[in-house]
Amino acid sequence: MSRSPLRREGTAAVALGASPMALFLLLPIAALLLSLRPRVLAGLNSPFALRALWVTLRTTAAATILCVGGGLPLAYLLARFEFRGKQFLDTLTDLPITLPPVVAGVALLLAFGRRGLIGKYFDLAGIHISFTGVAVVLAQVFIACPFFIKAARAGFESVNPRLESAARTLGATPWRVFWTVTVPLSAPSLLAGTVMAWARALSEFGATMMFAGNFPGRTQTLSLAVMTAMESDLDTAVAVSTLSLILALAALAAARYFSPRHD
Amino acid sequence: MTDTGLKAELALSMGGFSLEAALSVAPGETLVLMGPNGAGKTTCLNLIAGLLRPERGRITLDGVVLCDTEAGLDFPPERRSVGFLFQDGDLFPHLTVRQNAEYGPRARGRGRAETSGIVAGWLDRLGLTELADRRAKELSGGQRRRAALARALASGARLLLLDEPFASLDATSRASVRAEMKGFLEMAGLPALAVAHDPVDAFVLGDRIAVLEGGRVVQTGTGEELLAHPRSPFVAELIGLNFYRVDLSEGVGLKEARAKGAVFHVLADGLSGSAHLAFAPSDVSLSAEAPRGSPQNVFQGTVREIIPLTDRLRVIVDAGTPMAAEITRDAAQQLSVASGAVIWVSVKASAIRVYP
Repeated sequence: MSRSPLRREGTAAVALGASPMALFLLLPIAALLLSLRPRVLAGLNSPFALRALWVTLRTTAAATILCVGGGLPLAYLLARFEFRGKQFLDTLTDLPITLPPVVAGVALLLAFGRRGLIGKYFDLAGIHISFTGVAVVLAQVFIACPFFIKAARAGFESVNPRLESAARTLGATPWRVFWTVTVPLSAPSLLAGTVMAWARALSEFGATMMFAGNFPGRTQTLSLAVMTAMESDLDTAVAVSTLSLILALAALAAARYFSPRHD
Repeated sequence: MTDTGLKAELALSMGGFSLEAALSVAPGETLVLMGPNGAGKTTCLNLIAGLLRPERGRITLDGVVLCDTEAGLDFPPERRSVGFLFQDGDLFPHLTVRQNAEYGPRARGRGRAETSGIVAGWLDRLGLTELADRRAKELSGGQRRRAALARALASGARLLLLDEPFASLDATSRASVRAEMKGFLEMAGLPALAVAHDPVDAFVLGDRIAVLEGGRVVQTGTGEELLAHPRSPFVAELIGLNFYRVDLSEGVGLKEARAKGAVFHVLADGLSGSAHLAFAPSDVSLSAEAPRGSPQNVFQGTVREIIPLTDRLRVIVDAGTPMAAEITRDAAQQLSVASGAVIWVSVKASAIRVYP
């Protein structure tokens, strides 16, 4: 380890103070990894785990696409415009972060359920949303989109508006300026936000449980599968948990890689 | 009168600020806007570029109407063919010099082949061919400005707007970048409108200078005209003159010029009514006793401020109205000038310039 010339007194004391929390974070992860035995690893290959993995990958991919597609204009609106009700919209986009996911699930059910606010009209048209794969995706979008919106907004705000003005004077329409100047210059933030939204969608449990249920092969994601497995078979639960851990680590590594500070 | 160049009449009020200015710039001419902070200089550029909307106004460029509020016309910036160079050039940081220059022609719908032809031509003329594959952060301040100029010209700009083009340059490169920019502007042969803070920038770059104060053009002229006959406290202070707006009495020979807080005796045959009065601080004498002889203008006042210059001291005396004198350090020592001291100020009538 190279020593920085910067004078730092009390490094040992600070390290000592920091270690309990670091250990506390490490211990459960270590326990999970230590319980991996060949028998458990075989569980990874079970139809039960693979089905949940497939549902998870499918739904989180769709949810991430919807977060990005719907979040881009909203983030740009918040970053570049002043308007009445901006404060309200700002709070609204933060709310899913603090709202308990179970409550979000109930709220989604009340809106899109068979007798919900607009769900009843869908129902009349023969479209059922709750307790389907679509519901899994909607629950994930609701919970995960703030992560993308926050990152995208910060990225847009970091782009010098004068560059956008310069592009206009060079002959570009606002639409062209957005795609050729604003988006490329905020790409690191947009990618980091996309990964964070995907990671949050991966870990979604509460809202999915309430709004989409726990049906293997249709709405049972990895998180839900862990809970189901725990009721009967610890080994399978550990195996499925490990799959989730791997995905979470991959998401973090990707977020690190795309993070604006990386450059 | 031909239809070439820029003609702009602009009116805008925002909060407590109101702008009402008429500007015209001929092809190949550079007009520099000067004035104190908040005078509306950058606002003028933004209005002409179409980045701000005027309340009332009419802007034509080579006879083409860009904005005419009465006719309900106000073209967006992308349809104005106006090149805007911000302080540091503001190149797109994610693109190379060449890609920056290609941005305009591509945005205006030109094909790849045609674009690379246009761009290669401008890069060559501005000496950027060697630097074409670099990004903004790999360029010097002068190179960045050149690249921004190439980008504006390649986009087909018919007018150049420059917002404090030399602001963030250090003193050593400033002079050469300024001279280089002047040469390129002459080569481009377009009307150019620049905002400058530094008087040297303004005098070197500008064929004419327009002084903007409080949203009004108070004076337009060549640098020499401004130096000789400043018409605003801003310009006078910039070049270090004592300057007053006065009311002249009638008659010939020595007559009264009433300024706010002081009355001067001046020679100004043929002039009367409101006029401007200026004299150099080096023509002002200071003395501890009332001066003998006939300096015509004698005031008693108190020393308010002493500013050391390279070889002299600049003494600001409050004599009914502030007056600046410049004296040698020896003279200052003999007089024992100190802040708050009572002192006599005298100026010869022949040293005072009076003009309408």
